[in-house]
Amino acid sequence: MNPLVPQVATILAIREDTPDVRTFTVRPDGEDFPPYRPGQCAMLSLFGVGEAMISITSTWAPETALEFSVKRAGRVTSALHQAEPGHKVGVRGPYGNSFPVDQWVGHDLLFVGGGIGLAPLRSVINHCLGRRAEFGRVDIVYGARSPRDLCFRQELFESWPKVPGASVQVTVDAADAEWEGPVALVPPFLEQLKPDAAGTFAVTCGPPVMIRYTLQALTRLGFPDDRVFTTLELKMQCGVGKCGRCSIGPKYVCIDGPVFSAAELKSLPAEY
Amino acid sequence: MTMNLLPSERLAEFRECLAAGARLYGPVEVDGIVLFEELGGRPPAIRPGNPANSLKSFLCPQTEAVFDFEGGYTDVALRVPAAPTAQAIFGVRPCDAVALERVSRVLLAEPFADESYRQRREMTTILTMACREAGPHCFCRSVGVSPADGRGSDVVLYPADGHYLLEAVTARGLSVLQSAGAFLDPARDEAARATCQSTPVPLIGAVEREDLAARLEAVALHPHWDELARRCLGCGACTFLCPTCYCFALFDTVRGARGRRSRGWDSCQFKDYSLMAGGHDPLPTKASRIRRRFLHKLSRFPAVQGEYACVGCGRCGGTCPVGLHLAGVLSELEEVLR
Amino acid sequence: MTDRQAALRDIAAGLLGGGQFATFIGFRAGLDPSRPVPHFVRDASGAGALVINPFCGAGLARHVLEALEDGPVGILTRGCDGLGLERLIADGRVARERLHIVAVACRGAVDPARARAILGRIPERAEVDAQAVTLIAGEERRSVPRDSCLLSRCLNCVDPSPRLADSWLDEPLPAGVRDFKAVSHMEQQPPEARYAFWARQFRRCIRCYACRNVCPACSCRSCSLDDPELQERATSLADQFGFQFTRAYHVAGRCVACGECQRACPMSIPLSLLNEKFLKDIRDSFGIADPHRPSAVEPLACYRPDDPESWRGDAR
Ligand SMILES: Cc1cc2nc3c(=O)[nH]c(=O)nc-3n(C[C@H](O)[C@H](O)[C@H](O)COP(=O)(O)OP(=O)(O)OC[C@H]3O[C@@H](n4cnc5c(N)ncnc54)[C@H](O)[C@@H]3O)c2cc1C
Ligand code: SF4
Ligand code: SF4
Ligand code: SF4
Ligand code: SF4
Ligand code: FES
Repeated sequence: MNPLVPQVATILAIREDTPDVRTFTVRPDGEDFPPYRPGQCAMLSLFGVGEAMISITSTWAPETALEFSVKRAGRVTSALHQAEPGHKVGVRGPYGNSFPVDQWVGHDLLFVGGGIGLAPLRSVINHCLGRRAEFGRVDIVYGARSPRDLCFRQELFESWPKVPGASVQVTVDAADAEWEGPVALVPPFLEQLKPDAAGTFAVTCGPPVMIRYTLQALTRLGFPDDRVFTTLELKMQCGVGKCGRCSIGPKYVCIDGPVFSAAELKSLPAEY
Repeated sequence: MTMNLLPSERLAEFRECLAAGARLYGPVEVDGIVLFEELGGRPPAIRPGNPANSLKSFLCPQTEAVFDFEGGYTDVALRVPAAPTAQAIFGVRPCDAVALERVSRVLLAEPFADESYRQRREMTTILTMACREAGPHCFCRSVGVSPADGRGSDVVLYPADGHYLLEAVTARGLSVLQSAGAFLDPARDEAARATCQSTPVPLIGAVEREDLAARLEAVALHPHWDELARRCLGCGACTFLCPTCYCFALFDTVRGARGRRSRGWDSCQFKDYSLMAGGHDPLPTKASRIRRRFLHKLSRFPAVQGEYACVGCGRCGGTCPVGLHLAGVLSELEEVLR
Repeated sequence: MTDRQAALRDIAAGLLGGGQFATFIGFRAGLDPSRPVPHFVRDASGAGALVINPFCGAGLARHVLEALEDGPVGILTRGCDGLGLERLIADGRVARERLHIVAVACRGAVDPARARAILGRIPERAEVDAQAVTLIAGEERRSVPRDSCLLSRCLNCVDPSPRLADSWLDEPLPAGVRDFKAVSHMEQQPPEARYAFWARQFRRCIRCYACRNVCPACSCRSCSLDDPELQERATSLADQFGFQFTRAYHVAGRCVACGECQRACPMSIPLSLLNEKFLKDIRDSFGIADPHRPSAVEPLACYRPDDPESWRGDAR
């Protein structure tokens, strides 16, 4: 089978999360989508427009539909925002490595997300919370540009805080009239929270600048590079390690990533 | 491996026998330049060095359909193209055949083997003409390829005076020799191969094989890349014609209710190759893109695959309009380091 | 020859040493002696690498666009380079006062591929005069007719010296008049033969757009060929004709016949012939004697409110 040919799938539901993020529930028309791990992605496409690599934000369970949270950015993502339930899309995957969750068993976890970067984190957070007993504390720190730009509100404000041993801290870059929570950029906000680095694995995902400063903050907080994980975003076309597009040094982000430890990142050239 | 002799005067019959079950391609002279094209009975133009285009044109065509689709928003049917038919390419140079082997390492890597390439590769017979004379821009030997290299070929023809020594490299090659048995003489001529093995190659001095990757990484941030960038036109001709460049893009085209998703050659030398939605570009300058081309070929691909993504075919030497070819740039970098 | 080279180096060193100029564009030796490469001298000490010889083939005009981003530019300029600069100036892309044009008279540039084919090896030197070209490698000297090994643009050249100059390396050579022989010959062919000819040429285009990237008349800041909608560089014959005609039409009336597109084309497609057809038609339809020379009257590049045809040609 040609890996570039997608499965035809149907959009079952669309949720408007923020003014520029929508979450699509999608199910392939034919065979089930193969099992996937947290952090993996899929190529989502509209026929006649093109493809975009999107993290699978749902957590795999037999016979459940896929969820993708898509930020309107360019041609394909804008066209997806015009789509309606019942419309056909193409989907192929799952692609990429995943978060090394098994390595984290028995440890505390710190998730630091920014903007649409919560999409890949959501799948790993829900996966870990589903195996609650295997981990220590689960602390979630999340920020967006403004209160309107916060994704996954239901989980942020309702489900996750209720999980025993879990905490959720949410900040915005700029408040609006109703916002009563913290106003700060994610990296300094994180440093103020002073999470305990001892025995903790940290995972961060968000826009490139946020990732850069968050990695620095985590270093200052005492997190060793091999206990910090993030995802890289590079332009993609094939998603399967053939087209050359997403290469960084000797690695292809689409198959060797998108998840890298901070230690691995340091061994790669700064071309991202 | 099986060896046979083919008398020179029977070469045409040998080719006819290849054309029997497959489309036969080979180098031909068209308006003064040599190109790989369907031979269609024309005599091949076997000249020192390589035709302008590479075998890529027949194994990963410049544009090809991934699938066609038809329908509207709520119903779509996909149709994948018909499987490729058999083809044979005659008069390939050893470097070009080795290039296929290099590209295959990426395109055929599991678990996502490139199916259309795999099918084409399986339907293609490569008949290589070893080099008794190198072309003006060749430097195969300095990147680990020999003028008598058999990797990637099915049959290698070693030219000698009055005859060719034919060597079957693969099972497919063996069956070619069996089907052409009538023209062949089971005698051997080891000297024919030895001659090609020692063919002098002009530009090897310009490219040091030892430590190439490390030397290049060491100058990765040298200002000379900016000088190269002033010269480079960003046209990508170097990569489109290079037999070891495999980058491609995917794109959709629509006409009414029908459409096609195609793949087509792309090049890291193009300015929006790595431009992402939102405007971030990890290769924002021409210098960074030129560096990418050289590092990919000589350091990053070898780091994974153990071989260079350059076979010294010399095409970039003849085609870059401003002389920014592999051997030239390497010799310039050596110069600025001195 | 060497006098000109020495003078060139002096002028370049002077311009860069004076501090006002950021770059001097000329040639320097390449790895292959028959293919010198464009060279961008950035300080006076680098001027010593500049060379002038009959293998200097690349057009230099287009390179000023990027070089000017760093400051004023000095540039070695033959007739064809001069026309390219005039084009960029006329199109408002380059300010004349930010250039120092070092003019040189040119008797033609040798096509390295043809020269090698003739000699059987890479020539090391060449001498070009009005009658013949002498190719030299080691002890071997071979004189051959000009039309056997000069770049095709040089065979049709009527502008050996530039019309704009700030310094001269030698005496200017007189300008001539284009005769459009090749186009006339093509026009006399029956349509089927012309179609077969162009189909054979266009079929091999690899859509690299080197022809666009070198062209001094094709200098738009963003090109519609790079639009994501046109990403598909499809290579069916119909698409090839579509692309080729689009390219030719886009430079029609502004093409300076410098031949860079054809020289740069890795597939040796005779693009100049197509450009010349437009030039000849402009000459014949509008009575403009030298349509390739940028001038005040450029019939295809101007708009007049009293034009009897609307620009879309559909309404009056
Ligand atoms: C591993 C990974 C996971 C991602 N997960 C998500 C997610 O969960 N939600 C989300 O909204 N976005 C995600 N993105 C970003 C998303 O892929 C891009 O926003 C999207 O591809 C833009 O496509 P476009 O056609 O709208 O933009 P255009 O700029 O029009 O795209 C042109 C082409 O470039 C490619 N491209 C452009 N920008 C990017 C980019 N940033 N990353 C990859 N390819 C790009 C597109 O595939 C397309 O083929 C992810 C990117 C990567 C690499
Ligand atoms: S190196 Fe030469 S062929 Fe390649 S993009 Fe630059 S100018 Fe074009
Ligand atoms: S880089 Fe140049 S010499 Fe090397 S394989 Fe490619 S075209 Fe040939
Ligand atoms: S050199 Fe550039 S175009 Fe060629 S394979 Fe490498 S990344 Fe792709
Ligand atoms: S330079 Fe030649 S091959 Fe490249 S696009 Fe132009 S005409 Fe085609
Ligand atoms: S997206 Fe094609 S190699 Fe990674």
